[in-house]
Amino acid sequence: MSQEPVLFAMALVASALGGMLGMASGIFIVPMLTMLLGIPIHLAIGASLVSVIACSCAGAAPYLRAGLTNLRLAVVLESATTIGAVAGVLLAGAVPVATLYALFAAVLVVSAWQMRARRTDNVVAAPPGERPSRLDGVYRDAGGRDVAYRVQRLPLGLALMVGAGLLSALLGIGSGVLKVPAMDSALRLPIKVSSATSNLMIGITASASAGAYFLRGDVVPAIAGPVTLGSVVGALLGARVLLAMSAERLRTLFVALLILLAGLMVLGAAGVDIVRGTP
Amino acid sequence: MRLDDTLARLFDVVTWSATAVIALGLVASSTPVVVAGIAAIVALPAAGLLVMLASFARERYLRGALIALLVLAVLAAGVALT
Repeated sequence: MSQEPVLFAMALVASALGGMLGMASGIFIVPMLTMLLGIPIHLAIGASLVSVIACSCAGAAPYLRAGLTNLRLAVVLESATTIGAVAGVLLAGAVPVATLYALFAAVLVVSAWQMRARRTDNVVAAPPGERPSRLDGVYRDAGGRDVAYRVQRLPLGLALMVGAGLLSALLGIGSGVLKVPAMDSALRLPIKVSSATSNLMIGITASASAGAYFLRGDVVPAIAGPVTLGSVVGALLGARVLLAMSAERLRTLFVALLILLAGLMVLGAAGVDIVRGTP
Repeated sequence: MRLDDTLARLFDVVTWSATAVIALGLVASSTPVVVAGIAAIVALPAAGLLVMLASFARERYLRGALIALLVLAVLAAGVALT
């Protein structure tokens, strides 16, 4: 039987799960493809990167129209993430597969921890009368007021972004695990601006490595095609389910799922093949 | 049109068109059609950066234009180094 419907369904579920809490789907797709379908990790990463770009671009439009995305800041930060991503592409072939699995497991555990901790606004408002830098911005809060914010500690944000790009290229993920602390804690952006800007950046970062994976032959159309299609549909569904479910219940479900996937990736690092049942 | 709106339209149109092309390719079992859809998605962020570069240059935000150019150069280097 053709594997395409299974890949489509799996990506749909992964992306719907990610969409429910604003995460890129790669963090679910790669473990599912490798551990449940036995697809080699480099091919899973190649497929995941394409789906991450598609979901990022599809999700970016509403944020852009709402004026929440700080484009000037995004471009500056992308200079760091893309350099990290290219370094990741160059390293990807040299890093042993077991190490990739172990690194993925660690990222899943940290993501689960971040999910339990609540994000808080550490926004620094622009003092009245002071001339803002070109990276500072204004967003509209829930009450409809325009709030000016300042971008803080840019060098620290850039350093974290290099790491985010590296992780994205090595693991085929959006790297929210590093982007969220970089945006919220280092740059001190308002959460809405942080989410919108990060969403746009995820696609640009992933494209830095996806092109290389594509040319290397690690983006297999029979895998990446249904995965991308399922991801885009799943992201739409996830956003709708998000509105219908309690955030606390979702959070608990996600933490459990992330820990489960981390366990699977640890098995992968140890060389256990769940699909074929042989170590 | 604002830069944000131009980018939103670009991302909307290309993502959904490319997704439709991939679906068509899968239904028709045509690998080249699926590859065309995938290639359009992979190239889309670079197209967005080009739009930003042009907009920054037009509004004489030269530092922003230079950084956008740098990011495009890094993307090209990533492909060239493969």
